[in-house]
Amino acid sequence: MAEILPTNSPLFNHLVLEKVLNYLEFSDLKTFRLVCIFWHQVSSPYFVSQAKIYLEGTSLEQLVSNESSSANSLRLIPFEYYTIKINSLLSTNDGVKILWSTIHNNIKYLTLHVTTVYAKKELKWLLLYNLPLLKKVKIFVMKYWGTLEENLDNSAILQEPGEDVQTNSSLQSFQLSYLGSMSWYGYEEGGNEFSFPIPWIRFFRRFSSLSHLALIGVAAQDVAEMIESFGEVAAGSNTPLKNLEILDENSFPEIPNDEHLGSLANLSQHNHFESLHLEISPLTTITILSNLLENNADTLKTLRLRRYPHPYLAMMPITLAIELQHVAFLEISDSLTPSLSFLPHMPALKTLHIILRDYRNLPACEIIHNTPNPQRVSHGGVTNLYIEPPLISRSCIEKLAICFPALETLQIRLSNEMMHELCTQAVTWKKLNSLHITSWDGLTDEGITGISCEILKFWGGYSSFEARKHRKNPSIGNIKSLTSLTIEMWADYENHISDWSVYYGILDLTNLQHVTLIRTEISNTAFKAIPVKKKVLVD
Amino acid sequence: MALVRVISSDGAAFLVSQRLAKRSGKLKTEIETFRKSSDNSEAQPEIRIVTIRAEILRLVLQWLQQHQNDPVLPANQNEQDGRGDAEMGQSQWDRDFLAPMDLGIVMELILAANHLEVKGLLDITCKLVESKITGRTVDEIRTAFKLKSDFKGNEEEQTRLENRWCVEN
Repeated sequence: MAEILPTNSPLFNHLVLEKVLNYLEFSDLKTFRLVCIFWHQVSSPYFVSQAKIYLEGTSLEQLVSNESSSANSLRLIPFEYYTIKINSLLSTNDGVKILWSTIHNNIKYLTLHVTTVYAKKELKWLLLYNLPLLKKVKIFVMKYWGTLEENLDNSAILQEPGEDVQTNSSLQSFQLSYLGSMSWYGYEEGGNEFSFPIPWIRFFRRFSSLSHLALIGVAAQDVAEMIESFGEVAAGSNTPLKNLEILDENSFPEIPNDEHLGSLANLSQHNHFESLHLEISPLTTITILSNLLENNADTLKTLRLRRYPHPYLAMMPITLAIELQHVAFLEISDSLTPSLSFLPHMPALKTLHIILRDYRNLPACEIIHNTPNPQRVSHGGVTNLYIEPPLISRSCIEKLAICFPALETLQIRLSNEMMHELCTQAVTWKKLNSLHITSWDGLTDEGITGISCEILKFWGGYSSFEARKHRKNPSIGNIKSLTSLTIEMWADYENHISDWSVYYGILDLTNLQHVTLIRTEISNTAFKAIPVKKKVLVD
Repeated sequence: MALVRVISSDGAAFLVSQRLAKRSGKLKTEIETFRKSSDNSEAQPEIRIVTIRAEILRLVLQWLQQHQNDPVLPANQNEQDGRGDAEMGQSQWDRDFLAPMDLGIVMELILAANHLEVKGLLDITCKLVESKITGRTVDEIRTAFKLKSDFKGNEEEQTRLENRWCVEN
């Protein structure tokens, strides 16, 4: 494309067009770059920074077709983000070479979806091909459920890049998720037919700058080999790999097992992790887990432990009688701990996430309710709290205020009763500036405004003074410290808020700067009345 | 009332109050620089804007006059996404002000508002141009802005192909 020099016309002025580009949505940016060469050139950096190349089926076929000029185009424009779904095409011709050679000088972030039939060869090529700028890779291996036609998979005839593969010092994050062997309650569907395509020792030597490794649902044997190989590499020299995730998607997880945890604990004597994200199973030996954490106690800053609740294999709550001095972020499944008293001692804790693992039903979480003496388990330093499962309503918010007196951000499911408690606790939480409410078990205008729905219906349309006079409970307007508010409704006959929540509640929040209302029944008129710069209404 | 003489690129002089002029970040800086370098505190500053012609400068000053009592928006407001909230500051007067303008003039105003650091005017003019692009086809945009395609060979087709491959990140 010929280069066009700017003219005196403002229509061909970089500065003017760049200002306008900031206002365009991505779909309009696509049209903008089709108008003329100058607009195309001005918009290219914006487009490239916002765009992700998505290749699958036909588009992949076009790219790897030697006759197409598409490959040249991708070589010239420095797109950094790619999502690629590999089908049989790459394995049946030289397409794989064309694909990687086309994008190898630009690609930095890759998400790759590949089916089990082709995974081993394709991943081998990916791992051995020289992609010098690649920083982050996410690979999803999916089970191939179809029936193979004869000779479709002739990937074996491809020549490999050879043993003489250069070291790649750009890759920092590698995630491999195997989604092929989902099992439910012990019933295994198909088994794990995928194994890592190159020796792990070769992987670690090639990607010497890797700082984050995540293995999700891969075979236990692969995890064992990974840990053994990493141990070899780490014993010889310092490695930057400090963030490790080993997770399983099954209700009865196979990784990490005790052998894995034990090996990790051993290698942690000379390589300390800063972040661990682990799946815990009913068969996990807690002393082995404790050893692993204890060996990393001097460096561990982020700890995430999750567990899928199992209907007939009950698990004792984990009790970790250790002190994790530096952990600032803890994420833990609700099924792993019965109360806050069971959490390890973490004096530096700033952020606590209590998460769900089974989204099919929402049993009330009893962690807060079961905490007997909240004064004794005070997490005075915690400023950010996210509780994903619903809580038992009775006095939970009051207990939260005692346990976490310094909260600045809170994300929680609330009913009317809990909302009233929360508005009362505004006195305690003087620094609470960000609140994300998800409706639960009946959240209505009554909860947000503190005025009963009957009064609102009767007085609402006529006199705000009368309505406010009959307010029985504190309104959200009491939480004066709020600067950011998100209300996320799962609207049904029990959960619904309307304009009254704006007029008799949200408008009283004088320090508010950001508002997001999701699936509410608030009208555009009421929404416009909220005097903040950043507000979003989501259907 | 302290005054300042603002002179356009084509030599037209506008005498405006310093209070009004200081609502432009650029003019405020120029006035303060003049004050520091001048021995006579009563002297009237004279500022030449070599990049803005009289017709455009008059429009900027007219907009400033109308909005002289608005709160001054910080220049870095919403800097994260590089855009302001034009809807918040756009009044019926603004809509009437922009309505008769040719798009070329609006784009000159963008340039002027950016140079003179008048955030509110920059927001509403950019928003207006954006509204002429949003949801329109390429041909409609070319018609609105009186532009012609100058792509050679299959360059346009190639760009359409790239667009098909691209999704928002």
